[in-house]
Amino acid sequence: MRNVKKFNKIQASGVPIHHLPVEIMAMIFHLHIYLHIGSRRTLMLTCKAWYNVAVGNPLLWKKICWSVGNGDPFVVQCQTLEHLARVLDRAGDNLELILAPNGDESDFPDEDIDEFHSHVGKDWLSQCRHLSVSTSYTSEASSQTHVLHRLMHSSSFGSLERLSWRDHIDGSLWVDLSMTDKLATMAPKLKTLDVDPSTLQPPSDQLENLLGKISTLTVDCVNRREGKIPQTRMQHLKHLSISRNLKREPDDEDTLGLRTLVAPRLSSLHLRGEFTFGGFFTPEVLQRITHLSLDQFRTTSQGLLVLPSLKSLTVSGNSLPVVHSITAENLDELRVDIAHDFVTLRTSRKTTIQPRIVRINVECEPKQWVSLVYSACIWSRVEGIHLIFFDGITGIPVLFGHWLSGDDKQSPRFPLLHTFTVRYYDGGQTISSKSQREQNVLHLQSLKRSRTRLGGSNLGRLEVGWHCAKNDYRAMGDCMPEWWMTEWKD
Amino acid sequence: MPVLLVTSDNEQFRVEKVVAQRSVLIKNMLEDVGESDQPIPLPNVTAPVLKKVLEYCDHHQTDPLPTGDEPSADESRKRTTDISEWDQKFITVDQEMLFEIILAANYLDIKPLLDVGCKTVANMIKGKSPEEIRKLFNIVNDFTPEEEAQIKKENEWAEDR
Repeated sequence: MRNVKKFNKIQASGVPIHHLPVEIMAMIFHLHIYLHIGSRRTLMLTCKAWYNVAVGNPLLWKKICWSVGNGDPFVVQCQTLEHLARVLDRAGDNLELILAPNGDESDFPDEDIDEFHSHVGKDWLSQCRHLSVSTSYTSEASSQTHVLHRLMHSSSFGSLERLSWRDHIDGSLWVDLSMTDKLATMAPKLKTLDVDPSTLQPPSDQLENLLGKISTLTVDCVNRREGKIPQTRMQHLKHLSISRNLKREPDDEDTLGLRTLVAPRLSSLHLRGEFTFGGFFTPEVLQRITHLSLDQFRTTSQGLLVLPSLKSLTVSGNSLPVVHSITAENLDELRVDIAHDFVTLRTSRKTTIQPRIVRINVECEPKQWVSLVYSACIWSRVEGIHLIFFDGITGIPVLFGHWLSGDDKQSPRFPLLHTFTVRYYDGGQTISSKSQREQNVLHLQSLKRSRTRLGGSNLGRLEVGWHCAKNDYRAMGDCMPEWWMTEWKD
Repeated sequence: MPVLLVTSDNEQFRVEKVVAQRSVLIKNMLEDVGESDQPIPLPNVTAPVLKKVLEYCDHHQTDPLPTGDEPSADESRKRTTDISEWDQKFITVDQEMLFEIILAANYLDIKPLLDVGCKTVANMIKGKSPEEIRKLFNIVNDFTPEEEAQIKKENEWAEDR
């Protein structure tokens, strides 16, 4: 796009913006939608030239959701199969598609599905790279599953890399074994599987073949009945992510069958919720783990957990106390995500591990800033801080600003800090004006100048961005963490 | 070593090589011709625009050059809101000059400048209705009422923020 030699102008006219080539207009539209979360419709309704640029640019349409809205502003929401067919025309290859029927079979008669297939072709998912399928919690789930099968069964999956299947009917994906077989044998690029436990039941040869080829498995057990992961050899599995209910009573039962997991290459674990850590994984598995991420993690295990290969530990939510139970002699990196319980950081003074602290994410709640004082041992070693603001908070708290910049009475804190990134909230009732954004930027720059002047470590990377994820959406898990967590590189 | 650049209106600019090489196009041309004092013609850039572009290149001459190798680099860069005061002041020009700078950055292959230009236009569009955008850029609404109604109908499901 950047090396366009010929200037294929949208149209020769006296209007300066029409002198920009299609490729550049497409870049601007991309920024409008993905940076400013702007409307595609506005672009299309401006003039014919812009309409043609918008519908002719697949990048603007490649993330599609049918038919229950998922609240993600970056995704094109299609309510009907007719809409879906139209957007698929615009989207081209490398689709990221979410299929979530809204209604039951009677809402999707055969003639509608036949018409859809006649428009997009029966092999319509062959260019889909990421496919996410889900049914609702209602009694219509079974009916919705049949709708999905009617839509999908005739297609191949040659480009599919990631499949997420969230269903509420045990084994619904595998009811049609030809579908499972197709995914196991005719989806050569499929490496990532994201399912709930019911989807892993009942065991079958086709399911074992599928699990045998994937490298990343995510099992979401939250609010779902747990079932065992089939005792198959997952010879390519490297990353396993499991989420369990957060407020379970202590329970030593290995309902997921993790003790019998056969995964000789497993090296990365992400665990969320209640676990009997030592008992759930065999020492053979634990000794190979190099990356461990704990999110709202609780364990009933006693004693030390020995992880001799662990290089990177990420701790989120209220998981920090578990750090005291971990012995990791080779730990290089620690990432801490501070949400609502700064106080727990105090106890980290007793920890025996002394890794680099490469990044601390702070979700800003002003009333809790005082608690930061107690966590000096963490802050003295932190190399990167990422501040995230949600609704109603428009600026960096005064206390933190003083720590960062220093003042006449005290030197700047965070002696090892070299990266400081901020994500302000820009959505709902608190859309930032341009002048307010400029003030945010100027404030950061003044903090950096003061810090440098007073002998603080140099902030080699200072970055600001704006996101639109509401805190309550975030808590419900209804939006993408990348909205506020992304480490944008510039 | 200075480099001699010649614009479409035959004006000559003598600039340091390190400044000129912010343009990948010029950098490649210099590598192709080797050590030479031959002037480099830039038939798609006028003198006023090149002067402005060279001002940008001079200010950013010590910045690391973008590699462009990583597939996600473009997307990451586009999604970042820069905090450079200097760039903001630099790009505060009339619309005609803004679009000429974007075209020149594209032709000369100066990715960071192209990004600054595109982000500026995207900022101008932000939050505006089609009618407001037309007014801002002097665009004529060339849809018939029927066409406009059809587009609205066909895309009524599309988000309208």
